[in-house]
Amino acid sequence: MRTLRYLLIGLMVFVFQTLQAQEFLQGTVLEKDSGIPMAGALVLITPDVGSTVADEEGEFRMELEAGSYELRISFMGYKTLTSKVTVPVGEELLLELEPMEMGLDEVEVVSTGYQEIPKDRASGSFVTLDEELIDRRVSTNLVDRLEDVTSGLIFNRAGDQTRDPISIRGRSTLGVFSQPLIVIDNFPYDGSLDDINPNDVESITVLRDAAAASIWGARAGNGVIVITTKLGKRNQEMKVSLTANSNWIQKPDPFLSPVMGINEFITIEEQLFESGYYNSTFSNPTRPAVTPVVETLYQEREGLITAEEADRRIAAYRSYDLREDIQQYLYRPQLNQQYNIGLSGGSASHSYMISLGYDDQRLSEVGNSNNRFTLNVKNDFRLVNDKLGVQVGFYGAKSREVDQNAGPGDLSFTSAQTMYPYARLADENGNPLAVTNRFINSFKQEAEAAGLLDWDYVPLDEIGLSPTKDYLDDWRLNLGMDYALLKGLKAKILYQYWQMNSRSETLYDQDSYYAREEINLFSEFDENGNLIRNIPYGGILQHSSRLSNSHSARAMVEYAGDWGNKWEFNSLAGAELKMLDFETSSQRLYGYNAETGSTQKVDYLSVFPQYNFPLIMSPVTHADGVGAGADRFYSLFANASLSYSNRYLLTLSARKDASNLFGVEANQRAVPLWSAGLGWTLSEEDFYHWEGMPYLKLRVSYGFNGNVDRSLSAFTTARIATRNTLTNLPYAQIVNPPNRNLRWERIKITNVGLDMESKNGRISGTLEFYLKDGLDLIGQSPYPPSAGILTFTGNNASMRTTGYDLQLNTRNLTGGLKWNTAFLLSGLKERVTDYEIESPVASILDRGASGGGGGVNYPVEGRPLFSFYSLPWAGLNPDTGAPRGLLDGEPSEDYRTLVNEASLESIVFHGPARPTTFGSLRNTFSYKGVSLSANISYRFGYYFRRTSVQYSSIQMGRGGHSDYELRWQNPGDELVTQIPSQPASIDNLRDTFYRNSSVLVEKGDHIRLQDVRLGYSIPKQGTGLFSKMERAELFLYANNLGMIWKATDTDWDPDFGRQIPRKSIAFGIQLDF
Amino acid sequence: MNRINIKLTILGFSLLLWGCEGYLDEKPNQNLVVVNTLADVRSLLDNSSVFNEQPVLGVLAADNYYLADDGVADLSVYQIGSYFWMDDPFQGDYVGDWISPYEQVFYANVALDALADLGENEGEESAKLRGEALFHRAYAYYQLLQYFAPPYQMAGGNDQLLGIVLKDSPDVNEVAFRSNLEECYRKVLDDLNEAVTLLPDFQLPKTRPSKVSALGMLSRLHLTIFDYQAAAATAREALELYPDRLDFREADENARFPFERMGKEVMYYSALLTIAFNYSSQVYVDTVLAASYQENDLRLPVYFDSVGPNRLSYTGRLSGTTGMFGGLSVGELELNLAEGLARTGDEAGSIAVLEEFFSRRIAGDEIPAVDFEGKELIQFILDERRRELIGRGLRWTDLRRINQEADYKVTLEKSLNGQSYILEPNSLKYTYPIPDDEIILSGIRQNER
Repeated sequence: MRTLRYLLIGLMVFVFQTLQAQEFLQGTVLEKDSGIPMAGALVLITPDVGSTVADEEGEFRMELEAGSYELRISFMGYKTLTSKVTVPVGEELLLELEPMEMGLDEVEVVSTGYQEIPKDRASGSFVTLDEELIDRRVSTNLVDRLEDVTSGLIFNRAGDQTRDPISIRGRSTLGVFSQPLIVIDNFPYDGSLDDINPNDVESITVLRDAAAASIWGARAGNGVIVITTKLGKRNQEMKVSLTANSNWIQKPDPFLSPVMGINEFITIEEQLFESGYYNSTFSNPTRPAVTPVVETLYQEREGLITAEEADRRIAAYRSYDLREDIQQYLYRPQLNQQYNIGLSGGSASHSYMISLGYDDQRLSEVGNSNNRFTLNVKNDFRLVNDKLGVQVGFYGAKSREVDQNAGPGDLSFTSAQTMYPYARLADENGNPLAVTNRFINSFKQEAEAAGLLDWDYVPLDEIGLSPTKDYLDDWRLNLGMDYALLKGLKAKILYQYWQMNSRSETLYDQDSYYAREEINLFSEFDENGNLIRNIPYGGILQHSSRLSNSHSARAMVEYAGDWGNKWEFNSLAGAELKMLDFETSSQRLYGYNAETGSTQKVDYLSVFPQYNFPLIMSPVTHADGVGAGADRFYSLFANASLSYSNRYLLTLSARKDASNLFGVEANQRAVPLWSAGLGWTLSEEDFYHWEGMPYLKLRVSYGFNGNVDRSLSAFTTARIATRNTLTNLPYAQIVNPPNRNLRWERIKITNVGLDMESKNGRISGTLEFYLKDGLDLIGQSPYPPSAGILTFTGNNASMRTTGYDLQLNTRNLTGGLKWNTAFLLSGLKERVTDYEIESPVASILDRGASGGGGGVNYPVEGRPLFSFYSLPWAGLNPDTGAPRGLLDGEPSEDYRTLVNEASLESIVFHGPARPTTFGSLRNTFSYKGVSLSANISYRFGYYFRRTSVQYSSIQMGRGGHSDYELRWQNPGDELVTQIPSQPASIDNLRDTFYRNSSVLVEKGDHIRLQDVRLGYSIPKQGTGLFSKMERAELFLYANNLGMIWKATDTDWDPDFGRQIPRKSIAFGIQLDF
Repeated sequence: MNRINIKLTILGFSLLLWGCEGYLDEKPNQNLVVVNTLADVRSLLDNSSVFNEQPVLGVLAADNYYLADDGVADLSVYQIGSYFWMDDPFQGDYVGDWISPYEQVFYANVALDALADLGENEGEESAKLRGEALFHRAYAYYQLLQYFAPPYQMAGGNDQLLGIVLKDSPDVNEVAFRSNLEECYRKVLDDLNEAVTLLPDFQLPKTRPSKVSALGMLSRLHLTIFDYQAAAATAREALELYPDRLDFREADENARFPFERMGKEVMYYSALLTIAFNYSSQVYVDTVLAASYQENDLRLPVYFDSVGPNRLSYTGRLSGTTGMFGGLSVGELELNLAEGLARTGDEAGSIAVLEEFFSRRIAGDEIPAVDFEGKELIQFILDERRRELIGRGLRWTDLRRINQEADYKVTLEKSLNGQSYILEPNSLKYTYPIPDDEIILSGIRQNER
């Protein structure tokens, strides 16, 4: 494999040349393997001689006295070569530099988005993923490729996970802005990561501590992910690379949802009918729907059908299963295809990269698809004797998503109830069937007879009738220029323009159920019996768009120098600006005719009777609106590193930010975010003699990152509402009281790290410990009412996280059969240390683990932000099967008291909702061209909550949980089940108690086999068609393979509940010419 | 190298300067306004769900209603505690009576702050808006003073009593403290006096205050601080500026809401906070009060529904909705004027005002003559205030005032399940405690009780 070629520094050839009295040292620096001259390579001669630079032929020459010297040859992007020479040398020296392409699990350069630093010169916490690791996983989405291979990074499956999908070293903020900063090609990226083609990515660096990330200042609080896209190499012939893969993903399985059986469902309906439960529904003037079983029973009671007919129908209903139809007609296996072609190369003064990608996803809902084109063009020029660099790059993505089948989610029976489980989507011959929904069938029939539009709902006919299409154009232009002003001094200017246009369009065809129902509901008859349609006949077209663009610019100076031959100094300083503007608009049009593009007017001001119940008067839905906004950032930054004798390292970094979100005082107050770091390469010390461990480095860093909550402002802001009900005048509601003290959230991080590598690199790794304090976090605090507000959102909360990350790589076998292991282990403990508002216990119980959405969380001081709490469980009552809680230490069925009077002291704190110990173990075996790699991931130290039966839903005839079948039914059952009996009548508090009881909280610990990848590299051919082939690899990749071990005895997946992730298998090919 | 450095420095500084000039002033979101234009202030002051609302404690606490024993179950802790003048009436419950006026003060201060930033050059509109904001702030302070500060003392010494928290800026972090009672009333007086000079005579909708409302409010205030002359003068001025009069014969007694919302009678619109007590079917008009209306009094059918023997339910709210009206009405000012005149020796003038007042309230062609003098006349006017102003919370303020005069003082009594609750004149319980949240969070002094 490619990487194995770079395991060790190659052979060196020494050729000696004899010279007379005044000696010369003369040599040539070439790239290893290709033999291309390395113009500009720095040759440092020690002790105390000086340095020189190789010329265009890669040659250098220096006058020297005879003696022994050490040469250090370095070049950006190449491994530094050290060699001992004795002058005079016999022949010309030939020095070969090896490109710093990252070997497997071996990283030499880290990128902060401002600069690339050799890892030796870094004191912070960086994790780098190279191209091979990024390409290991098959996905159309770049972010997915970080999972289980990035130390300290976790994909959240609980606790506000939709807003906070990934965390680096835990969560750093209470608020909405909890996502890491994404930096692509030097600038923060505001678009969607879905627009980045993973094939264009060269490397990803994750910045985990202050020393690494504080250069990003106020936006680095949640960690930073730096993505570098590919670039061609200089002095290289054109290289063509082709990638293609297909990923087949299992069909979703509707049988996984824990819902009660159809027989039980129908039996309950019969019981409810018997008890007269539906009588009020039949007489309800709004004409709500009843299910076919209830309707059959009604018809039987009214004598419209015979008892035999009713029995026959109900027996038939008992034999249907909606899930089978969903599986057969709404779902299909998902197929993702990915193609990419890349051209790269370069001359002595120019390098380029062009790549074109196409992704196509056939989604698992029949009729839905998603595709994306990407184009990446990058050009780098080195001019004026290499002093001037010019970079021009373009990156564009165009994607289209078509959604015309909402899947089972669209199959609702009424607004309060999902589709009855014995609904049929098609008959035996596959002909689509109508199902009952919204209104009682007799009402729909009457309406149709009166001249209204057909009101039948035929789910399968709906597919394709209301397509939602999302279009997205996202592109950016990068320009950069750098100039070497003097030796070691470089000025750089970078600029980026970014634009994203997104448009979403939903067309409800005039034949779609949605449009028919809207039109029917707004229909009425005038006194002469003429039909009046207050919503005109035709389609309903709804679209919304968002246009964003930004300008980012950065100017900076870099200085690198050395004093004597021991001190090395590197620094940069500069300023950065960012202006982002966006506009949104949305519109809803009625009476749309797709053929002519015409629409019709509607009256938005009047209210109209609703056809099903004319006493309800409603206006026609109006959804037109516009919005706009702007972000302005302005920052100053600097960083510097000083190293002595490769042994001691000091780094400093500082940044000051200002933005339009903050008031004058916050922007002017000089509280820069800064960091400092120390590095000590122990193995370079004279006293260090441990030969088994030739590399050992200790790092310490301390500093501050920032975070910002854009929903707040330092100014008094108000929202203008259009109409006051009392006066019909527009009015303003204050949303944000003045907060002149508003400031950035600060994350103080202390990090201690140890890097090591054993002899021959058999064992290498990094161990880090950190302490993270979230200070001035934005939270709510109660205010005296005389201030005019009751709660104040400001910088008043704090959090503390402690943790460690271990990354260990071993080469277990290095012969013909190679075996490498990568082991990741991370642990963290987080808690909210300051929070002034005590959340209601009911919210803590219900939402303490998930948050309330919209950045609303229910923190408890001293506990992790997302935690599971429950009401103590005292088992089932052996006589009645009723659930029991604990009241004053005694079993109790007083649910009102148990639920309403629970206090923080009386409830059980189980633990965090997010894993506190996690990582992965990846083993790779290779033999000749075949490699096999398997990743096992594990997550420990957290809890999850099972759902279970809620009788109120069942007793309202709305169906319920499959646990219903396992419920307590007879005395003695309490020995085998913990599922309560059915109460005599609806008891919401009993349900609430059971839902929040500790019996449903389970340990989440588990280990799973995440994926396996099998690759085969075709050996390089000397002749024939494939002789020009640099690399040819075929691979198979299987993902979500299954659980190896879990702590819970139930059939629940701690992370995915009953919806276990779908297995997938991919086949791909990668060719490089 | 130096020259290059200079160039770079210039580049750096020009970026810096660009950063300072307006670059950071861009609005982060178009749908939000930073309150800094006259239009923004206009919208702020038109927020009628903030401004046109006022405390309801006066309805709970006074003697115009009685609560049937069965009605207790529907009421919150705060309502029960306030109704029965309990020692700890709120017990940590939400008390909108304290919160809502301070929200008004905050909004008014935001408006005043923005107007001050806009400067003097904004002309009439700016002056008018300032007048409105001052009126709203004074109105809120006045409401707070009626419940959470001791009654203004006829005997003086008001600078020795604790008033309420006065706020002059929208800064929510400003330290809160209670000013003395004299200062508080002085502040309300000053704000209203300034508002009178700034506001137009009259404006629509009636949720916006006008000179008429400011004068009306001054009249109410002067009555509260025993300045009868000024109470009469300001009432007269307001009534002269406001020509509309409602003849109660026009009100449709069979309509669900006999009064038009913001109709002729209403000079300034404000509604009491909505609580269960307001629309409870177990709350009835005090029987003595109910019996005191003359048979041909038009207010009987339009104000009340008879729901049973001795059970009158108050429905005819001037608000024209289920909410209770608490703003300024023509009737209130006429009675202010009549009392002011009677108390300052012009009994004939007072009687003339009353007769005109009755001419619009009593059925038939003949207006009954008002045949009282001296204290009897004053007592008559006080009783008439009770009849006219039921359901507005004003009785509480009247009780706090008249209890200071031996001739008119009243002992209140309420009962629940046979147990009776007594409120002696001038009891400390005429001042409600400040809600716990405020005491805990700002540390201000609690009222004695």
